[in-house]
Amino acid sequence: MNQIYYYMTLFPTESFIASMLQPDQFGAYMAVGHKTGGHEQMIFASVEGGFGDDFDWEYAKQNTVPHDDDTPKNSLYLSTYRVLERIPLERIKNLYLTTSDGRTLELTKAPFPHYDDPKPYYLYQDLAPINPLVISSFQPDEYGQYMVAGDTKITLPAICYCDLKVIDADNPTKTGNIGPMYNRNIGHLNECIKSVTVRGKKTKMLERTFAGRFTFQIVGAGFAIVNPEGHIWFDMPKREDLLHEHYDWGYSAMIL
Amino acid sequence: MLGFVAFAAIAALGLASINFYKVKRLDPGTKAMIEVSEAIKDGADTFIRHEYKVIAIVVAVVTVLLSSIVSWHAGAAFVLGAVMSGTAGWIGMKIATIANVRVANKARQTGNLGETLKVAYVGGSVMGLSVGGFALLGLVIVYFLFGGILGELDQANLAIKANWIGITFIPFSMTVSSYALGCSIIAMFNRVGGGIYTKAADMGADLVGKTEAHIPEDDPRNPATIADNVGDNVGDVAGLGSDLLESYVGALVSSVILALYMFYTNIHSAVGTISFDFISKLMIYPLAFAGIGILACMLGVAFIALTKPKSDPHKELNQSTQIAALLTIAGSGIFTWFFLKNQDFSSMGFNVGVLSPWIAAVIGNIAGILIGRLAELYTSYDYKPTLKVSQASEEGTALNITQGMAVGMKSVFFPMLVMAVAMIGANAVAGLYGVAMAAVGMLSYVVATVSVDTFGPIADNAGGISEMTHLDPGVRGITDKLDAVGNTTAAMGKGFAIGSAALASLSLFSSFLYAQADAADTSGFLLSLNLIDTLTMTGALVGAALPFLFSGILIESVSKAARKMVQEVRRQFRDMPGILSGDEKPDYTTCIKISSKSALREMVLPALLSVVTPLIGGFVFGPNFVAGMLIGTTLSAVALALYTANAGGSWDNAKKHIEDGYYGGKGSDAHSASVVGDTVGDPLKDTVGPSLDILIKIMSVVSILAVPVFQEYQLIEWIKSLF
Repeated sequence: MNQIYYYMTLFPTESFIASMLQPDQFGAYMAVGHKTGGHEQMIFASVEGGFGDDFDWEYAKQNTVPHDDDTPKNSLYLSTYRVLERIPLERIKNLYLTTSDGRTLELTKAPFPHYDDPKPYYLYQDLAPINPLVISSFQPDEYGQYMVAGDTKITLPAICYCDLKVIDADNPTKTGNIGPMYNRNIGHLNECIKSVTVRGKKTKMLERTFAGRFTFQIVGAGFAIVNPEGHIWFDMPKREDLLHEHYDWGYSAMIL
Repeated sequence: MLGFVAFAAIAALGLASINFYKVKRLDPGTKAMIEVSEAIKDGADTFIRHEYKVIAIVVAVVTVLLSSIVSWHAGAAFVLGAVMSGTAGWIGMKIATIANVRVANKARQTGNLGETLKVAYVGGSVMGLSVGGFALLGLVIVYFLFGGILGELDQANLAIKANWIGITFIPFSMTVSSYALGCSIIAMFNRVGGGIYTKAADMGADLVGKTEAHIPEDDPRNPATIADNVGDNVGDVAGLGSDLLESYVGALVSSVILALYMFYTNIHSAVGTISFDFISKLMIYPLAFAGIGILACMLGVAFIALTKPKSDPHKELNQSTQIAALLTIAGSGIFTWFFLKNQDFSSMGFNVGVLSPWIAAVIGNIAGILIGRLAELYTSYDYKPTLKVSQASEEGTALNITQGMAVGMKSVFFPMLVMAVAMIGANAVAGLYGVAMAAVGMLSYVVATVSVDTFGPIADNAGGISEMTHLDPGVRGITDKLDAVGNTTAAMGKGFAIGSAALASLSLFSSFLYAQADAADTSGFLLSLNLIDTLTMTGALVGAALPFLFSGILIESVSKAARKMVQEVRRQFRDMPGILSGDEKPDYTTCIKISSKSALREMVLPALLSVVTPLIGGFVFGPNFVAGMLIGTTLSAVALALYTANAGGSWDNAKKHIEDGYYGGKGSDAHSASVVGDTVGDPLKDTVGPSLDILIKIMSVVSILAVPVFQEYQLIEWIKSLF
């Protein structure tokens, strides 16, 4: 019996894929394993299959088989649209971050952070199903719940997002390795920060199209997946942990 | 006194052997580390073997020409110079490929910065001691064999003689110049060949690996990464060693030849005030000065090798160099006092008595330090010029490049001003001989500077090996710290090489003028060059353009080789997708072959250009044209060398500054711009800059060797005689 893995890709696009590859192999295949010469970072989650009837599990079993030359089936797309909202949270196992050169880091579930001494504002990158860059006064757990609550005009059936390192706008020289976050119109950034911290807005969209420049360098505390039924959280390892335990990934992600 | 010089040279080579085996017997580490280091070693060995085969052909041709047109003494001395320089380069490359893996392993085993520094420095010292030892040993042989046994240094032979085809010259001047030419030819091939090799591999690895495939530096999945590490050894070690050996010999020989011509002129212009005893001493004096420098440097090397490991590598390396410099100055001062006393100093234009040449050497020494400090000022991100390049990267690639060019251009002025002041000072103290001694003073502790310069690439390679074999990140942290120290010292070392080349060129140029003039015209050492003369002026014009032609050819060669490397790396990523996913091993060998073949093919033209141009200029237009050409080439080459070295260094460090977390750090737009700037600067600072100082000395030495020939045989005179 062939081992079939189910993966939900969240970034850059949503899809649900059956594969014979283990997560690190799948990440490498998706990022760099094509002859097209692509180099694409991605975020995906492993999923325990066989639930509900939204996806064709029989089709997956019949077609996720080795090729004629005995090489494993790399990917069989089961769905490419509105995937996140159709996967129960309890079926999501681990989250994987794959760098554009094909190295994959596994994140396991962790308790949702809630800070007793909150910061005046947080920066969030929505990863699925939409991709804006948002400034909010909500803490990470509150932000997700706000976005799926359904009691505002801007609402989603489910959301995957991460919080980002907050830029010190007062010290635009010594920034640390924040890559693409740098020099993103500091004036507009300051205005958006004021909207939240001074004028009391709960959320303010900073940029509609930042996702194309998103990198793992700027991820703060971690990643969240939230729907109206609940939420799950994945801690982003600290720099020191990356240095000692996941050096290759940290080096590829330009964090080290 | 020659015995003392021989003792210093042999002692240096003895210590080099001890240090060689001291490093070799250290544990090379794990199986994976040995595999990677063997691949680097094999690549470097193969390249040097092929390179030396090409050089051997050129050496054979030049030997035949020198032997038949000048004398067999000149031919033999030329071979000796080539052998000494080639051996030093080869040993340096050998120890670097042995030490790199042992440095990584020492860091792995001990996790101690100080202990790792010791292994890297002791490895580097083998190159430094070999450079000093072989350069002096060769000169001792030249003095002993040709000067002593074959009588070229007898009083009767310190005069212009005619050879079998009627060409006239001072025999020892030709022999010692040929020795210098032998060193220069090897240096030119090693620098140019190694420079093309290393930059083709480096640029190929970076352009596809980093920029397109987004894989980090020294990632074993990059097919060009082994070639890149091989390049560090053949370019930054063998090339640098031969280069500084050539500079060292050039400085020593320029003072000897000048002394010879001054003596001859003095005698034959009926002034006759310089005694044979005095001139004999002045001809051995630079060598003894260098011998004292070598012994002082050995103490500096011992300081690091024997003292307890410390945690500040920059301070420790500086202390070692300072010990060497101070002991050299003190020792040579005492030596000068006793060796030169009771002479008629005014006969040589020594204006402050017995210590005149020593003071000139100290002036050169101070000038070298100042030029090195200025290089640091313009290239280190601790100072404004390079910080401005980092800052300009925020506004994109074009402004990063224009700001880097501005820094490079501005960086030319003050070092040249320092050189000018040093020349005036040295000349005021000890005449033209003083200017030559200033170059000697600048390079008198070359063993210490080369040891430190070689330490850098060894540490860099050790970092590459630790990355490729997935050693603990702490190991990479240690090698990175050592590499960063090496980068700063390398920029200062380049300043010394360029500064000494300028000073040595002036004394070689003076010798050329003496050689082409009638003794009566230079009475009282009054050298004159008529710049209004059409041939002199046109020579200067052509000469000034030559370094640009030479640099253009070099950059084009690097670009051609880098393009081939880029295409190969792209091909491998395209045809072998398993490389990036970790399922397939890249084909490192093909990349090594591309770098090797390209470097071997492309190195010949620029190397020959430096030899052939003054010959053609001389045979067609005569000595005045060549004199102008030497002036033009020297001035524009020194300026261009400073510009390329400092602009390249500034672009490199501007990128490093951004990677340290400024202006957005890695992955930012500013970082992308700085990566492009660094890539543009790479061939400038590591191929063009270091080759230019060899160019001016080769041209000067070739001109001195050939001036008697084209005084006799000259096309323009022959055409005039037809009408």
